[in-house]
Amino acid sequence: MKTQLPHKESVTQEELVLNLGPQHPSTHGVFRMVLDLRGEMIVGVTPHMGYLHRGFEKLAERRTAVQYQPYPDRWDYLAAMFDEMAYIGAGEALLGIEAPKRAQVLRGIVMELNRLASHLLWLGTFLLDVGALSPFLYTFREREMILDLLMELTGARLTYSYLRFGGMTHDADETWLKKLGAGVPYFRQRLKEYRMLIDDNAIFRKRVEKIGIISGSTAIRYGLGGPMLRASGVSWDLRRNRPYGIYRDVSTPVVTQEAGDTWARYVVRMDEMAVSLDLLEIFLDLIPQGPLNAKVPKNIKFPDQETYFAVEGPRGELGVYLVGDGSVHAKRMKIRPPSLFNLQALSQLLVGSMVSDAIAILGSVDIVLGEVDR
Amino acid sequence: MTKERIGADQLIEVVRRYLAAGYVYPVVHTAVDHGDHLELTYILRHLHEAEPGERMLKIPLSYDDPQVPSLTPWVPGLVFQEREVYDLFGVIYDGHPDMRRLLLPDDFSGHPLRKSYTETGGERP
Repeated sequence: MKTQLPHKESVTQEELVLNLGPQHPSTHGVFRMVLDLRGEMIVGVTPHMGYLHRGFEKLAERRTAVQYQPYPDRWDYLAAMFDEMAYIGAGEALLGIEAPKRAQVLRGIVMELNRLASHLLWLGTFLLDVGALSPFLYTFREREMILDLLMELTGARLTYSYLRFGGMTHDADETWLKKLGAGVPYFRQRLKEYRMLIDDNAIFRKRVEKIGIISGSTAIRYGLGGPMLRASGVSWDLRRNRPYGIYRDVSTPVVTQEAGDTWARYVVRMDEMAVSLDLLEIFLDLIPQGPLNAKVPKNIKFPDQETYFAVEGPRGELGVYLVGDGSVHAKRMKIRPPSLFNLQALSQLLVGSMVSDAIAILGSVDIVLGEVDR
Repeated sequence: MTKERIGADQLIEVVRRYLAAGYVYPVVHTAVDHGDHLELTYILRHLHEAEPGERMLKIPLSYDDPQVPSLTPWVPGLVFQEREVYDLFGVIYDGHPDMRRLLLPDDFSGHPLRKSYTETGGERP
């Protein structure tokens, strides 16, 4: 016999405030957000950041242009080559220096390698967030191989300090290039394996499809970049639309998805890895013999001008707005961190979804707090 | 990149004109300390136009009382950027929905990216 529960007028409903982070493992670093919950539903979100603020923009005014060269590695420590390229590129634009062709191609190679390493770390941790443990081990195995390659070339796993104004610190020898050439087909095979394992996994599909949807026009208005923008159907990639360096000589295919949900962002990043592998093969064919460094004045002084230089990082548009005043220091250096712009859409993405989805959605944004907080 | 130098009172009018022309993507917004005055920089982008796809706006502001209308109702992608400039330069944005510090703690005093700020002892006299 069913018993009717007595209707209680005294039951009250109230919003629960849940603090997520900065030590929560799924916030990928030291990001903290305060969620307002009604039951399991998110009705409000307040992001808090700054726990990793190290004053890199102020440091650029205190260090000389040359002294500052290793610092960009520490902005986005998972994709340090892009930070170096943004700073060095902005400086070269101000100084009117152009790196030789060999250096340009080599920059393209290390950047695409770094994009692969960054996307691999994202893939592993994202799947970890939605409950798949084993892909993490596979992606880290492959990522470690890429980091080994980069370490052989530059001497460091993450913070390379490889680019210099007008060139690079040291050249890649033939054995290294051969090793890289052999690694590309190997990696393409691994990528196929990942997709075979993950794409048709019913649990994964149920966890990520149709959550965290953002439309293309909203994505543009919020200034989102990279896979966040392209997964919403906006075909925009700086490598094609505002090419720099070696990307002026190659045509970069731009991967887009229309849905704008977490699944679309996953697909875009997976397809981008395939594009990076194609680009690596093209660059390996392109690399010419010749000098690695351009003639650079001994004492680098930024002229009394301003410039904005941006590269397509793994997370979106990574730009540097650099103002000189004729001295060895920058007058002002502003970093445009793609993660910070991507985080602005957080309330658009999260409000109205469930708490358990919030972890998957935040994982799909792919934030790195090193560059958000600078 | 085409540059335009305007006053703070013209900002909304000019930006609305740009938005109507399709310059809707916020690229970067920051301030530069020129010693005697601050200068705000906005870069907006037209995603379908190759050249000139970007427009730069510059607004000089006084050092002691920097105030400017907030653009966030029209360009929501500037919410964090305006908070950051407030945090590091002390520029007040009228009409910003959430005018708090972005990177530094709430009880921090001073605005460290001003040239007058010293690392050891706060504002230089």
